[in-house]
Amino acid sequence: MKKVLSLFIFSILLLACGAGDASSEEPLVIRIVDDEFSPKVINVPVGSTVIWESGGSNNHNVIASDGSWQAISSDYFEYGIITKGDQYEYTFEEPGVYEYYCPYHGTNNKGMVGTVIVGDVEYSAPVEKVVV
Amino acid sequence: MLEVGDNKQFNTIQEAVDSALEGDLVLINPGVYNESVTITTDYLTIRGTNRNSVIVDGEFMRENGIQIYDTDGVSVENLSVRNFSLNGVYWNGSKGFKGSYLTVYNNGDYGVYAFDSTDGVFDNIYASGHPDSGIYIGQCYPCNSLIYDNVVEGNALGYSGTNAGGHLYLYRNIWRDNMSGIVPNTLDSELNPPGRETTIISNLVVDNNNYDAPTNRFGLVARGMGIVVPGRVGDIIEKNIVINHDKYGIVASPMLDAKLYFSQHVQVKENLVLDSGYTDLALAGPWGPGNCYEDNIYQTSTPPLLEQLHNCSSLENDNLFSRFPLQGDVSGLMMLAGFFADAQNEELDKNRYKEYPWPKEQLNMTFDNIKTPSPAINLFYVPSIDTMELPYDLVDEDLNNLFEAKKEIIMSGVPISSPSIWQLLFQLYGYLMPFVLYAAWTALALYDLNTNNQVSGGRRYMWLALVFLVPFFGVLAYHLVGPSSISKTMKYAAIGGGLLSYLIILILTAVISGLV
Repeated sequence: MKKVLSLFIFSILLLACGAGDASSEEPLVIRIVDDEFSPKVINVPVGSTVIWESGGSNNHNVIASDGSWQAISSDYFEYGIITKGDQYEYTFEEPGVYEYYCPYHGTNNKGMVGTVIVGDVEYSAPVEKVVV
Repeated sequence: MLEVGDNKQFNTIQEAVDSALEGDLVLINPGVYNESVTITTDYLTIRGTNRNSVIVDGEFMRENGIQIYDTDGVSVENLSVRNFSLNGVYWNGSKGFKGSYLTVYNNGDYGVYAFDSTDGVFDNIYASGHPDSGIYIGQCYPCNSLIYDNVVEGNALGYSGTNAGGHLYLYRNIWRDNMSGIVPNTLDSELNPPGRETTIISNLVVDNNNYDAPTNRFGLVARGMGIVVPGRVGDIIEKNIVINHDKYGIVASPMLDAKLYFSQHVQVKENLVLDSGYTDLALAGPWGPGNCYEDNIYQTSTPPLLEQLHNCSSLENDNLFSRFPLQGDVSGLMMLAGFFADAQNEELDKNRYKEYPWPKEQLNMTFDNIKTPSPAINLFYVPSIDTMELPYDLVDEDLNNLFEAKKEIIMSGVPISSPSIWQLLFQLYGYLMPFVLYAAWTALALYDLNTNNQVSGGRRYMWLALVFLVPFFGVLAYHLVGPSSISKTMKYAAIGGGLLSYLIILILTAVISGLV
């Protein structure tokens, strides 16, 4: 875990001022936490820029499920690494359903995955399994 | 059944898994399998024929050994997993998971790791050489999971469980020779905080002072501690033997991440906690309501009279004091800041997990029929914790031999013989300086009351009482809205300037130490 006490002093100051919650999110920001994207699915207009922001302690990456783009690559390894505090942004110019995943904590369709729905396109969320 | 090995149906585990249907058994014969296995078929059983000679090896170039994604009921049994850059065996999004008789070692993150997964069991696992925890369960509520009969040693943390709880039981495990023992926690780096309602009972927690274990920064913060419950709600810590830790035996503390979490309703009962370097039992402030300590065998506590002032019986009797929303002072918070700052300023050897000594051979699982699958279905039950006792039977040597912690004299949370610069700055300056300022303001007020002709008779004594009896606010009221004749410039310098200087130095300390 890296820098768990970041904003430590500021937390105290904010608490002292009665303004404890500084966690408001921009609508187009996807939080990368351990080991999940939050929110998992977002719907944005065509031309939007989506920002992935890492608040996780683990290493992550953001890679298109079809391999067409990724947040960070590596000269030496198969994938690059996003660490806590890093940001990555991508602009979606065409309508469609864009699925992505973290290669360290999922496959291209299971585990730590997410979806960006761009524009007015049909999309049905995966049906959750029901265990009887 | 699908069989893997030399001259068998499949040469690799992944090939067998890819061919398996729901409910199948994949039986693996001895060999070193240099592969990473991904499982997305429900209710598989992955079983080695020999725990010590069926080895999945990542050669430090693959991330996860066996990874199970959004897949229910997968059991992994009787094999070894080593040398992966992240996790040994990893479940993500599973209802039903089982890791039994696994030897996981020298992986770069966790040994066995269940995230967002419920209804599972980890039993008879041996985990060593991980820079995070040997066993981890994260982000589940209720978890409905059991962790028992495991031996976990030589890791940064024995157990870690972030934002996990609810019918989560850790019992009859041995956590020894890690950097710290059992550390459930609350963090904003996972969803659904806080962590809560974990029962830690009848464990042997001993000698967790291994400063040569692989570690990340969090491990450094908690080093030398037996059981740490930071920012937790409703955990029960009962009937554990916790011996020989350089810092604390059992400590409940606040947790600072993006937000601040307070421990509340944590019960610490009937443990044997001895030979701790700082104190055996500790409650670090500020803390929330309902924490209680009762019937423990121990020698030292922080704060003093912990069991007397915070005993569980008084909670049951609606003790008003125990229901105050925030209690304690910020010394615990400053102590944490000092530990975190120390951790930020230490060099980490990120390759240490690769070189950690390998474990000796471990006991194999026994089977009535090794070809019968055992998927992870309906595994959870509520253990009969009322019948559990202090686990003397897990101690394999004379208990007296374990008493060897380096004893430390503590004043205001600072170890006197060997404080680090950050501990001094946070715990002495950060904690005590406001009291120094308070004393200075009070002295100024007393001087003024003695010489101020505008205040006389009864009013003088009224103000004197206010200054003495209402900490901080009384003296501030005297100077800011009372009859103080001290010049405005002097007052602003003493009060505003003092506070501002304090905050600036504290912020600078946080920045320089790397906390911010």
